[in-house]
Amino acid sequence: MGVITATAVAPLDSPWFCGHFPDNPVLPAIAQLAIVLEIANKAYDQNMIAQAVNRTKFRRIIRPCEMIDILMYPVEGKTMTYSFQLTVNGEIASKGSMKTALAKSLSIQGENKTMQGWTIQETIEGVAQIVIDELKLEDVTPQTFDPDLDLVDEVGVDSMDLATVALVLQDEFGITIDEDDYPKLKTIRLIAEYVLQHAAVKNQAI
Amino acid sequence: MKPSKQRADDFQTSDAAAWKFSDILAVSGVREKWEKVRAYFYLRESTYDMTRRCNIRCEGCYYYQGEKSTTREESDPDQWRRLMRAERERGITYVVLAGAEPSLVPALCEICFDEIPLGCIATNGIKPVDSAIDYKIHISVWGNDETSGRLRNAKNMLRTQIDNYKNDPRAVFIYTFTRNNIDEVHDVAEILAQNDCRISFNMFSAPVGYSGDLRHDTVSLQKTRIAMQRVCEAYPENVVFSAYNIVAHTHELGLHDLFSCPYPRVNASTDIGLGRSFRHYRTDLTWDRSAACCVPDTDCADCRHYAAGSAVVTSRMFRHASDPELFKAWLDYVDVYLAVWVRGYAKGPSLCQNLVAPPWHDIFEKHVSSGVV
Repeated sequence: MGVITATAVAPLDSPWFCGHFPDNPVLPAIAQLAIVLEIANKAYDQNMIAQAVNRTKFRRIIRPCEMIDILMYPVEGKTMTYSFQLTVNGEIASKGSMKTALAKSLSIQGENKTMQGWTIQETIEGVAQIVIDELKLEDVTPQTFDPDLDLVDEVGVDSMDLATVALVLQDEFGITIDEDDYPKLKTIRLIAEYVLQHAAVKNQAI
Repeated sequence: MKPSKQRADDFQTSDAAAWKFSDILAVSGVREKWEKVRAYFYLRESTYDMTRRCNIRCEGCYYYQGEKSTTREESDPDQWRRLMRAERERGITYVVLAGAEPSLVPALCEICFDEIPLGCIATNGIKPVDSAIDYKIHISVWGNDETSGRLRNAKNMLRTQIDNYKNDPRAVFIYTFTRNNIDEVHDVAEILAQNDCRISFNMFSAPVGYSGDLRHDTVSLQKTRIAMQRVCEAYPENVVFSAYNIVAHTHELGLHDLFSCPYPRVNASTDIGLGRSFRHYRTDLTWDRSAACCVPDTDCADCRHYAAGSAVVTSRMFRHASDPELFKAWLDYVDVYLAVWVRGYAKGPSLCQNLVAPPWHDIFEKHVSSGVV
């Protein structure tokens, strides 16, 4: 998908204006980022969360009921990262880039500690995202990462890399990985199966 | 004394629930050091005996134990170059040039440096290594000159070593604590500090079958711990060590019992890590998996060797990532390891000043009175 365009309006009774500021309502920066993320999710039919915001500047105040024009497009060569620009009456209100990740893998670490309903394919993509991020792999996405590639033999991962991935997997999927197990988790598919298996055991225990 | 599997499981379950890795990284100073050391995770080491010859004979020398010193000596530069290229192809990025005395074969050392530019030479420091070979140089110090004269039959050893390596950014003087030279470290460290030399510590680790009096016991371990702390405090600009190094290397348990050594000699797994990639080549350019570790022929139960710790402790990141203090201690250890072993790497300030117990263990061990420590 290429360029995304959208419009948005924040009415005066929007909760974003509560306290920001009394008698001087201004649309907060975080609200502008939330708009960007929401539009990305709608455009791509995904459930993403923002992981990082880079080189972002907020140049113009946005008042209640002002029409906001949003322009977005994927950043070439960077997985799930989008450039964005918000304008009001032709003036740039904010611009920058946002790195996102699939929310499902992250949402389970907080309130929702189950992985019920996750398919192996969803888990594979969630694991692949973590491996890509932690190993700083380029030119590959969770969707294009061959889940049967041997991470040690074919990707060049060593024990310290794998230990790092294992620690992040624990965080993201809310499971406990046995130290003796992680050296055996040598493909994305093996890791995904391990995650599902251990999440299932944990769910039974809850 | 090894931790039971059940205990390990209990530890992992309870602590994993308590601290997420991301929360540990968010603690002040942790992420910065984590990113700093993580950049060196690509290092994959192997060790090479360069020659059977040495210009001194030291009591308890690792090299002259076992069969290593009786193997044929390959001195053909082409064969060495071929080996180094094959090692590079195999993914080795770091070489340790060891026994018996690498400085006696400078041409072979140069070939190694040509092919694999990261590494270290373990030397007695009597004959200087040419500055063109830009590896770290570890100079072994076994006490003051009187002790060196007795144990190594070498006169004015420290003076010679300093003359050869003063102001050499490659050099780290490795003081090996034996049971009998603990108090000498203060004088030796003072001399080295006066000459602006870098110092780090090793522990004498008895070779298999060794029956001499250099082997540590509980009392000498505790005394060494105190001596290390005092020297670290006295010469912070010169000593490259951390509080966790002190704990790991003066613990009543050896490194293998504390951390489960991953070297092939005791690790049958070839899945990943040292068990997969590490080799110790002898002078005939062969290697034997059953003997492959950084100090072959050391009694594993007594191994507290600094080179072993650099791999054994460092590789156990996963079990140290259970709470911030323990992870800080591990980061400090890795920071020291890189500063001692990698040219151009500068040690940063320690994150953890206190002695922290290794995972699943006490700070010395439970049954020992803490009165001395």
